[in-house]
Amino acid sequence: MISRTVHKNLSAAWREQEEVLTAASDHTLMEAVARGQTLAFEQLSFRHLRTMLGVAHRILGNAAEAEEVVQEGFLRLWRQAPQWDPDGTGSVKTWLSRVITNLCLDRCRRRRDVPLEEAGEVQDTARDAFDDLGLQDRQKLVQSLLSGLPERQRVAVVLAYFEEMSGKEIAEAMELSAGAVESLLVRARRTLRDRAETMGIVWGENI
Amino acid sequence: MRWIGRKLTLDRVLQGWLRQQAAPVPDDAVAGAHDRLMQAVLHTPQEPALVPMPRPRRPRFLFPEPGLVPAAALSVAMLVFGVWLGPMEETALSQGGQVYAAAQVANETTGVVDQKVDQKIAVLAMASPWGDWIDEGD
Repeated sequence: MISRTVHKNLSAAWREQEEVLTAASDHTLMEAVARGQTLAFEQLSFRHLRTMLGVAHRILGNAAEAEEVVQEGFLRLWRQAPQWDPDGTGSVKTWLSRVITNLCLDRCRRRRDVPLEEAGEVQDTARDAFDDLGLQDRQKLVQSLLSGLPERQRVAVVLAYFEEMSGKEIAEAMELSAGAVESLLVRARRTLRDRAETMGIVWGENI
Repeated sequence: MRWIGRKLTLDRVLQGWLRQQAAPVPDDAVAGAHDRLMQAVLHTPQEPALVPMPRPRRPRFLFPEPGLVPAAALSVAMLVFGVWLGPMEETALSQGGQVYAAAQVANETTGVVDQKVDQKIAVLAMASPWGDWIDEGD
């Protein structure tokens, strides 16, 4: 009887703590993480993990490598949490984006000698080729289009178009000016359009 | 304006298309990555918080450099000595409306006055602060 009451109370306390963590802002969670609270880190990582995995995957084009990079980024957040400066560092998402995109760019530079992809696999010069592709092929095609971009343009496109980050956030994440980010996006759009046309996709018609 | 409108339209088309076609991150991949991350966190120590370094304690001086005080005192002493000595020498060597250089009065190397050369200079030299010393030397 006593143990059941204790268990009930513990469960209630646990639920209450979980609700508090769920409702807490990123900054509040970071303060708790800085004190070494793993539950707060669990909540924080749960919030941003999917986004960061998506970013890394789209930049690197490889799920396993993306997970390695994201894990390194989150572990860095955990290690450096006691030194977190809420006024100077900016938002957690921007910090993570900056660290993870930099780690991705490092990986890209290391493997620059080896071509990331051979986009020719899904090329088809027929005008209606895109419509005939299945979902997985389309996804491969998008990934190959992205992989064909220079690294920094790819990062800008991923953050702007997939993660819908603002120009200011992207500039902070990439440590560039807003103008430089816009310039990267303009060049990336042009490259994407040219590459898409070589694959038989024309903006405004197929898309 | 038309160019901007077209650019924005293209931008939205591209964004929508990319988002639509891009493969989403599967739930099981997120869950697996989360589990592995939390396992790794349990074995990763946190770095200590940065503590601001205390400023090195230095003895407090009136002047920024401790050597400045004796140097300044010495300078002042030399100035006072010079002010006191200067007029005495001037008075002694400019009697009679004629000014004589110190080199004319006394031989700098020996301090001995050549009385045979100029008797008047020798008299003036005796009146100078070196008078007694010259007298002894003579």
